[in-house]
Amino acid sequence: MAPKSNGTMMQVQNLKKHFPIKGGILSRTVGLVRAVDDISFEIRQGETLGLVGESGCGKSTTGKVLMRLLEPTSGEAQFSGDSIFQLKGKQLYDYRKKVQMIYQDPFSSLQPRATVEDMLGEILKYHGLARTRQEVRERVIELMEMVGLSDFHIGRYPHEFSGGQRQRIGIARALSLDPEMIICDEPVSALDVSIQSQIINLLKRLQKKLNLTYLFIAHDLSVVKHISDRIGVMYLGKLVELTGEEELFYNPLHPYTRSLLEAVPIPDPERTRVKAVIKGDVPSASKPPPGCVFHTRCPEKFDRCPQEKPQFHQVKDDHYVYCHLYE
Amino acid sequence: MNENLLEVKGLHTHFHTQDGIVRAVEDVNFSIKTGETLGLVGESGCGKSVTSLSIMGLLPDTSEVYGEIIFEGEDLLKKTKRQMRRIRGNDLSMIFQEPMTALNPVYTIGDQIAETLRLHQGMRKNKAMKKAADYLELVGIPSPEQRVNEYPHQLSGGMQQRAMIAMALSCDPKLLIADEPTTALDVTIQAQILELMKELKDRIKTAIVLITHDLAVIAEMCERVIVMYSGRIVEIAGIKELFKRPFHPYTEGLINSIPKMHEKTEFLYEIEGAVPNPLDAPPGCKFHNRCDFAQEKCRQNEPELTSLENNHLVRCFYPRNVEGGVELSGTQK
Amino acid sequence: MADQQKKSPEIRKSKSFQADAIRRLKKNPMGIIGLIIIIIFIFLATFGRFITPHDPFEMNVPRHHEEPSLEYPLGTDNFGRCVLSRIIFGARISILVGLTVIFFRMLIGIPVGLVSGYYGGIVESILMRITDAVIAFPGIILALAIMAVRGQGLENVILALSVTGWTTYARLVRSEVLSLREREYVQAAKGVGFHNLKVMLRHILPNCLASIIVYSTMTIAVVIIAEASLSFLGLGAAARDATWGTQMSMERDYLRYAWWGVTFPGAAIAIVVLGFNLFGDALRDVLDPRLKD
Repeated sequence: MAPKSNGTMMQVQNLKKHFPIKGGILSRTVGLVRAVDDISFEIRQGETLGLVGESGCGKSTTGKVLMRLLEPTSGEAQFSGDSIFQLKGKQLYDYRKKVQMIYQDPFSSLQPRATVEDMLGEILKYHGLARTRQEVRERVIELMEMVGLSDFHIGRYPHEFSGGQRQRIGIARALSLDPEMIICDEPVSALDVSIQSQIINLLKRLQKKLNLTYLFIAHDLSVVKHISDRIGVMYLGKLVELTGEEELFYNPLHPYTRSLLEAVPIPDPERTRVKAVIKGDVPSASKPPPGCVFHTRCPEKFDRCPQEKPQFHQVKDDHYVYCHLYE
Repeated sequence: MNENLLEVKGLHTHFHTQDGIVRAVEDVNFSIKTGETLGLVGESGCGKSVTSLSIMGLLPDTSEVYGEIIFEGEDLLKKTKRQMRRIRGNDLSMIFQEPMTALNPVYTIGDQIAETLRLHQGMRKNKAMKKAADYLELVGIPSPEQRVNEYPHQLSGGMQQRAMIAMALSCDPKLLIADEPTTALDVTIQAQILELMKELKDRIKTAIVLITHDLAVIAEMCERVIVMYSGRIVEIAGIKELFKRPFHPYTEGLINSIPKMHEKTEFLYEIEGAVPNPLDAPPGCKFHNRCDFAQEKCRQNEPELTSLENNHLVRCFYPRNVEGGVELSGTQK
Repeated sequence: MADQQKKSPEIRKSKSFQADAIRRLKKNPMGIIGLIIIIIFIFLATFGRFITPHDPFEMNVPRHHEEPSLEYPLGTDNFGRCVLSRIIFGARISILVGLTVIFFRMLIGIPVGLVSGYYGGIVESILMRITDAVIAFPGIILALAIMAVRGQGLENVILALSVTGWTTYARLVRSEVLSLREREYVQAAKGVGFHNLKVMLRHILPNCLASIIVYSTMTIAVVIIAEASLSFLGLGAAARDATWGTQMSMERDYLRYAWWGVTFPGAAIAIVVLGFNLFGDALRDVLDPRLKD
C-alpha cells in the first residue's frame, strides 16, 4: 500500500499526529485535532517532494514530526534504514546533522541577540565541525558565500538584515551541518515577490551543488509546482493525491486537486476561470466529516463518500490518490 | 462635469521618526473613474498602503500629508476630522487584510453593520438589523438572519471577510478601498472572495481600489494597474497592456519572477538586491541599483512619470518593450 | 560577490542591543532623572560613611530633637544623633537588603519559571501548584511569623522577604517562556541538536532578560518599602542598624514636636522608590515595548 521504490531517502508509513484538546477544570482531554491522520509517502534521494495544501491541512505538522520537533501519535518513518521516532541521545544528534530545516518566518527564526557569526559558530562548535575561532570564521564566511551574502555581514545582528537576507541566513544555518536532506517549511511565503524568486533559485542551485533532497512545504501551488519533482496534496490531515509534478498539473485526479488548480489565480489577464469556484469552508480538524474528508465540498460526491473512507492507493504508475472515484 | 470620482494630485506622505523623515509616498498622481477597478501593486514598503490610508485620512498624527485628494470635486485634505468621519464609511469605505482584527470581537456581526447604518443613514435599530441581514445575504453568507446575531469568532476566516465586505458596502460607498483583502485567506477561499467582489462590482457599480502584492490577483480583478516602488508610481497601464508590454524594468522583472504554472523553467528571473530602506533611498532612479539596464544617467537623475502611449505612463529613462527604443526625460536630483 | 556588495546599499554599522537601548534611554528625561536618583543613592550607600557630617552613632542626648540648622542640616533625633548622617548611613542597608532579596528571589523564581514553561505537562503542573500555594500564603504574615520565630536582624529580614516574593519571577518567566518556546529560532535551536539546557539558557533566557530587568528595577522599590515597613513595625533590622525604617519607627512618637525625625527618612524612602520606578518605567519602554500596555 505504501509507495516504495529504489533510492528511498525517507519512508513514512501511516503517520498520525493528533493534538489533544484540553477542557474542563481537570484539563481532561475532551477532543482531538487530527492534524495529520494516517499518511504514507516516500522521499527519494536527490528529489524535491512538494507538500501543498491550505492552512490546517497538516503539512507543517508533518514536517515538524519528521524533524522530531513534535512527537508523532503513531506511525513509522525511516531515514536510511533507521526508524526516526526511536532515535535517542547520540543517534538523534547524528540524525540532526543529516536532516535540517528551513523555517517560515525570517523575522522570528533567528535568535535576535546573536550576530550571524555567533549563531553559526555556536552550532559548528557544538557539533565539533569547527574548533578554533579561525576555523569558525572561515566556515561561516564559506557558508555566507554559499547563500549569496558577503563576509562583511557576519558581524551583524538579525534585525539589520532584510527579510530575504534573513532567509538566506536561515538557509546557511541549515547548511552548516552539511545535511543530506532539508525540510523547507514555507520558506518563501513571508517574502516579497522579487525576493521569493531569489530564494527559490538559491534553493535550486544549492540542491544541484550539494546533492540535497528537499521536502518542500508550501501553500502556494505555483511555487510548489516550480520547484518540485513530485507533489503531495494534503487536505484535512490526509494526503489526497501524490504524483509527479507534470502529471499532477495536466492530469489531476482528486476533485480537491482540481478545485485547487482552478482556484489559483494566474498572472494572465486574458485567462478566465473555466469551472465554478469550489464552495464552502474547510471543516474543523477536530470534527472531520465521516467517510471521505472532502465529501462536504466535493463537486463529484456520490453516496459512498460520506459513509466509507477511501483508501490511498495507486491508480497508475507513480500516481496515488485518496478517492472512491478511482477504485 | 469631471468624470473622475477620485483624483490624487501630487500626494506626498512623510513620517517623522527617531531616525529621520521617512518619505513613504512621493509625488503620487492618479485618478479613478466611477465604477472602475484600479489595482495598486508593489512590494512591502512601496507606499501602496500608505497611499490608501492617506486617502482615508487614517494616518497617525506623526505623519504629514501634502497635495490634493479630490473626491467628488472636494479636497479631502482640507476637511476637518469631523467631516472626514462623515465621509468615511459612507461614501468612502475600506476592507482590511485581517478580518479578525478589523471586526470588534465583543459585538455581533449584525450590530457592527447596523451601527454604520444608524450612524450614517439614521436608521432605526430594527430596520438596520434587517438591512444588515440583507447585506450578509448579498455577500453570500448562508442563513443571514441567524448570522447577524453571531460574534466574529463564530465565523470562519472566509465568512469574516465576507462580513467585512458587507459592512464596507452597507452604506453604498462610491469608492471602496480593499487593502490586501485576500492575503490572509486560503487559495480556495481567496477564489470565492474574488468571485464575490467581481459579482458585486457589476451589481452595485462601486469604484474599487484594490491594493495587493499579488500580480495574479490584479490580473484577475482589475482594469487598470498602478505599479509602485519606493514610494513612487513607476508605471500606470491598462491590465492587458501591462502584462503584454511592461515598460518599466521593475514591472517586467516582477512579472518574470513569478513562477508560472503553464511553463517549465529551470530558474526564475531574479531582481537582485532588496527594496531600499526609505531612510536611505539611492539617488537618481530609485530602482537603478537593482536594474539590469541602468546607465549612468539613471544613477544621477530621477526620471519623471511620462505618458508614452495612450494611458500608459512610465517613470524610466529607457523604457522596455518599445519598438525602436526611446529616451525619456527627468529632473536633476 | 562583488556584484552583491555593490547592489546592497547597507551602510549602517552594527549596533548592538545595548547601544541601541542606551540611545533610546537618552531620549527619556524621566528615566534620566530616575537614573540620577539611583546613582546618588548607590554613591551614598557605598561611600556614605566617609561623607557624613557627623558620626551617625554618636549620641548627644542634651541636644536631642534640635531643629534643622547649619550644624545639623536635618536636625537631630531623640538621642541627639544627626538625622542626615543616619539617613546617609541607612542607604547602605536599604540597597543591601534590596539587592540581596532580589537576588534570592531570582535564584528560586527564574529556574522554576524556566523549567515549568519549557517542559510543560506534569512538571509544569507540580511547579506551578507549589507556586500557587506560596502565593496563597499572605506574604506579610509569613514574614511576621519568620521574624517572630527567628528574631530581629537583617539576615532574617532578607529571608522573610525572599521566601515569598520569588513567585512573581516564576510566573513572569514562565509566561515569557511559553511564548518564546514557540518561536522559530527556539525550534531551530532544537532542530540543530542542542540539548535542552543549552536551548533554555542560551536561546530562551537571554530573551526574557529584558522583562526580568524591568521587573527587578520596580521590585527593588517594593522591597525597600517592605524592609522599612517591617523595621517600622519593630520586626525588621535591629534598632542599632540605623535603617530608614527603624529611624522612622523610633521617631514616630515625637512627630508632634519634632517632625523632621520621621519626615526626612520617609522622604528618603519616597525619593529612592520614585527613582527606581521612574527608571524602571523608562527601561520598560526602552527594552521591552511589548510590556507597555
